[in-house]
Amino acid sequence: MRVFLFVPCFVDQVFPNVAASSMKVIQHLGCEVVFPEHQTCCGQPAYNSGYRDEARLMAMHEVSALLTIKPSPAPATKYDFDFKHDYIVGPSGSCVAMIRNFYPELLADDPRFEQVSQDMAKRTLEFSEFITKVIGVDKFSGKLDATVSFHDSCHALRELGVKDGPREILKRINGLRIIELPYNEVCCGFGGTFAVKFPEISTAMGDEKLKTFYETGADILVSGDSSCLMHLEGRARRMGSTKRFMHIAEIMFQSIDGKLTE
Amino acid sequence: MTDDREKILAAIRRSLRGTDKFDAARNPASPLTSMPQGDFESQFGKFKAELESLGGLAEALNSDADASEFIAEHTGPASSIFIYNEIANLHRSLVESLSESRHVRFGLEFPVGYDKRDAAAFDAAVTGCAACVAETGTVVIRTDMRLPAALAPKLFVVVDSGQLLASLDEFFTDSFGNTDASNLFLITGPSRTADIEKQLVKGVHGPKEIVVLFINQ
Amino acid sequence: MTELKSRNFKRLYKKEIADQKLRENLRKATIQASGKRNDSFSEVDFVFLRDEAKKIKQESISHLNDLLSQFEDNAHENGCTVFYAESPEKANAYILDVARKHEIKKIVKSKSMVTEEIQLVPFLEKYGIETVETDLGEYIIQLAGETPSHITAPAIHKSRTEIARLLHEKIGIEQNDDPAFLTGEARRVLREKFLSAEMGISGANFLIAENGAVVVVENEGNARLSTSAVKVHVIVTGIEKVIPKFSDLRIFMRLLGRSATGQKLTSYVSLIRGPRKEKEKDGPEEVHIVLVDNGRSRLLGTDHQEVLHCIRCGACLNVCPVYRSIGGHAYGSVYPGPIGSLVTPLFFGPENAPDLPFASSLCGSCTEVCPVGIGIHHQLLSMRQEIKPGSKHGLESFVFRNFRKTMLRPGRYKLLTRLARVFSSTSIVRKILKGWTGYRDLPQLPSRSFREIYKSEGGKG
Ligand code: SF4
Repeated sequence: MRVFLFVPCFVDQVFPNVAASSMKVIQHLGCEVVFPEHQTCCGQPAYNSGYRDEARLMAMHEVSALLTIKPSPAPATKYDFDFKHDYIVGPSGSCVAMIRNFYPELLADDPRFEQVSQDMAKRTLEFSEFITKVIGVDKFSGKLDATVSFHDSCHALRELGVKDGPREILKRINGLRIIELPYNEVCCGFGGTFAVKFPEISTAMGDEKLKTFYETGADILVSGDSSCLMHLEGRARRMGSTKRFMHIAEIMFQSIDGKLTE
Repeated sequence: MTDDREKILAAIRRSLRGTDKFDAARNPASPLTSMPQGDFESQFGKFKAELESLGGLAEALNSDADASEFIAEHTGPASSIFIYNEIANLHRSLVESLSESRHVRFGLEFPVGYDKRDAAAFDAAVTGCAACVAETGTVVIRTDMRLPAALAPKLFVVVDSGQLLASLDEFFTDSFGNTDASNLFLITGPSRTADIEKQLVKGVHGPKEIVVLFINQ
Repeated sequence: MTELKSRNFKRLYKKEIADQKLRENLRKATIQASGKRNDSFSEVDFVFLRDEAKKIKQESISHLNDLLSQFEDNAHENGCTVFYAESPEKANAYILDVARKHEIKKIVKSKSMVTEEIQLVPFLEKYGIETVETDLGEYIIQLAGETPSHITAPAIHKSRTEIARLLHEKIGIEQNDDPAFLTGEARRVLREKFLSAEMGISGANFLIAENGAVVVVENEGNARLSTSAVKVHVIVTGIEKVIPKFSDLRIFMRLLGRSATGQKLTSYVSLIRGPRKEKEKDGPEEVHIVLVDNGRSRLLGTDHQEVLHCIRCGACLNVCPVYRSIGGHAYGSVYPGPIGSLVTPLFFGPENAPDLPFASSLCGSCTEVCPVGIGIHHQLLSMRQEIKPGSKHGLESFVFRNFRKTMLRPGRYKLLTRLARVFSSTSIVRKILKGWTGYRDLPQLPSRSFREIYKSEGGKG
């Protein structure tokens, strides 16, 4: 079994540490990780903004790119990916949902991609899902002295049905105190281009989320989606807060040697 | 005025042409995850708990005399009470003893097309029912006069213990659907609103108090 | 087609969202409503009910013409008059006609979204017929000269203090903001209306094809009176409300009250079979059923057909974080919230609501609670694709076209992203990012992307 690491474009560019942590955690748990270098963007920003045709082209590119380790002219017809044993794993519920839930529909009318997008959807997992469903959560343990709350991203929660997994993972970290956010199923207000199209609404929602986070008294807000964190952290900084925001892969990685980096 | 019947139906047919037709085989199972089955006691217990959680009242009584006493206790001495015909017919002794202590009037006294103001003059109404539903604490009314029961601040419903149904599954069946009355009316608790700051207030346009008396025959 | 306020969503929401007090009230009220909803599903199986409801609605809509004809036949047999109206104008004219024939001066009306949609009340009032909203929330809104801001809780945006002041000014009662007091006073005033009006108007929640019955649910008792304490009763509803069987109500009745207010069953359910029977001593002598199309039949056979399944419970509004932040008036439509963002452009044309399908974070809470299983947020998504904002907003479509071009070529992606890093503080980039940076800080950009780190460390990351 190999893991083909799916690194969404903004994670690649803005949060490389999240991708690196995901890779190292998965390696630490004994799996081979490859990063298909031709991947760029899953197309979700365009898709969610109504640009279906643009999104379709990007999806086609991404399918070929993700299934091929070494760059070759897309669309490839022969993939490196082994559909029986390998997995595609991405540290973003939102982008994973794009591949898993929307690619099959988006590419259904193209004979070159119809089957492969369905096969690929079945082998694509969000990072925490991969740990809990494939590797087994008890294989992981760590320690950290910190108090955290976990934020469910809407796409992980409602499109992928990820709810208990991340919490089970966090419980494997000795010394970590976990305080549930009140109203933890309410959206934080990011919503992709929604965040810049309707910034007043987006930040009003973000402020409500931050209020519940501050109420818990936790030091760190952990999530499986860097996009939510980018929005919340950006808002928190603007309002003068110094609370920390971390991706679950980062906190897992740091718990392996038990030290939180600054 | 001619309507758009043909136009609309044709538009619907046109739009639906060639689309999938669904024919839903109904799943006959009950969606209830817990429900007291069987004996009257447990079903009545459920009915009472439901109705009382809404602010209504339910009692199981042994006789018409007990019911009459109960109604008298729950209405002021100067109250005027409207009695539906079916109660007057089926529970004669209840009505006789109630009329000794309270001012009562009967449905019989009202002509077809009576003045609706006359129906608004009562402090309480006593009616029978077509069925009761334990699941929700609901009573189903089917009467020849809609207004007294809708306008009185207090509503007493006198029920024969055999009329209690366990769940809505038993009510929404053909035997009730094919009623020949012009209407059936389901009442679940007192009239209420939460239109002002979501604060619950009982007694808006309908009865503020609802009392259901089961008489064990 | 008239221009709707929903065209100006961007202006409207900015005004509403600035109102802190409103946001707080709304948040409290909607969170409470959602909580009650969730609790109320403890003793029934929500998924079972929702799937059954969806199936029945699919069947109903896919056989709409047959079911309407069947309903109509049975309603006739029950003594009702059925009138089909393609447009608001037609429906309003018919209802005015009925009122005139009976020389009606005063009408008591209970809640109906369709009457809001066709603007029936202002129409009747224009012709000198006093038409009184008798649902407490609607009455408050009518006195205030406003429109409802919620499907099931029309005055949800108003505080008790505002309501007390309003009732004091309009009906001259003592100024006291206790909801019980205010309700009592409204009851007193409205009781007199019920006793003097000769015609009643109501909506319908369901039309039963197999027996011609009309189902009206409510909590206050005003619909019971509007449909009973009158000589003429007019029911105004949409053509999509018909369902096949009486027994199907066992599904819908359990869903509707819970989804709307967390009640196992609404306080009152009227099952109306027609005008008074010979042996009955009261009830209306005439019952008219007005079936309004107004854009609904156009949706049949499209990807948006399932929007017609909606039973107007309001659960998607209560749970929606956007609705909670901006309130119903911001949508500028009779139908606010997630379902409103769909039906407004669908019923009244996308040009009347170009922004609404985009005013969602697509979080999916609406879809999760919808009792009839409408994929609300997926519907919004496909509306976005149809509206194609690109044709209107040049910059955005330019950005996405280039975004796509870049993403298809990893070499260009690498180059451009590196350039972006260098130029991130230039004014043009700042301008593009204004929607972000006006409200939030940007993350600190790392010196290297993941792919650069990966490559430089020989595939070890
Ligand atoms: S869309 Fe669904 S949740 Fe929203 S009002 Fe309609 S039925 Fe209720």
